[in-house]
Amino acid sequence: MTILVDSDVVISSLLSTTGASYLLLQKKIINSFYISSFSRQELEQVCERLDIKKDKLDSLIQKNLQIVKIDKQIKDIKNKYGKYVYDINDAHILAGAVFSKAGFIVSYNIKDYKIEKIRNDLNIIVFKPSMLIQYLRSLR
Amino acid sequence: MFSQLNSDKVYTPEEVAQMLKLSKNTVYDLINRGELIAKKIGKVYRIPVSSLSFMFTGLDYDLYQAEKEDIQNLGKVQKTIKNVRKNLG
Repeated sequence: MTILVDSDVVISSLLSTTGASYLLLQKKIINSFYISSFSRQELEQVCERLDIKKDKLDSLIQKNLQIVKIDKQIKDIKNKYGKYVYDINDAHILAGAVFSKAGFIVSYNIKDYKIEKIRNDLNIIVFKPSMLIQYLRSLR
Repeated sequence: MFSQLNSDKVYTPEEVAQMLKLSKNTVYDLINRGELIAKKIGKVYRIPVSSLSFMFTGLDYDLYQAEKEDIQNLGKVQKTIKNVRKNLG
């Protein structure tokens, strides 16, 4: 099971040790969480703006996240994956999911994804962290 | 609706039946099958809010609470991400 993690979930896991994002990422429920190289770049800037220590982000990535490299220009990504999102700037998350061959995207930003189209065209399910944990519990 | 319930309160099977639009017998069946966790006190049952979480939210109570915890910070997190994404690449 491969899961692409949106940046809001990564940042949430760094801000609270009792939130659903922390439970999902830091407790290492499963081993195949991915972010894209674009997300890495984005996360570093977000951490800086929110005064989150870079060490915390680096440690999380090193321990629990794998990075999938996307060798494309952001404008090409927006052209190809923009049809799956309501905000064109979120297109790189879809690209990350496709490049990492993810079956799931975990995000709090569900309203900005065309979840039916993503499921039908790409066979990727978009979940919030809590729903993904609930789903994983149902598999036990 | 779930968020409006008092987390310290316990409910009777009759109250739960009314909330979930089920018959009283169905609620007792759910209790007997272990699908709804209730405490038997003498001859009566009392049901804590935590047992009702999944039926209202689709989440176990601990996950419902954990999601609420994340949501407290989510506004500023998503706003910052949106701003960064505009200039990405």
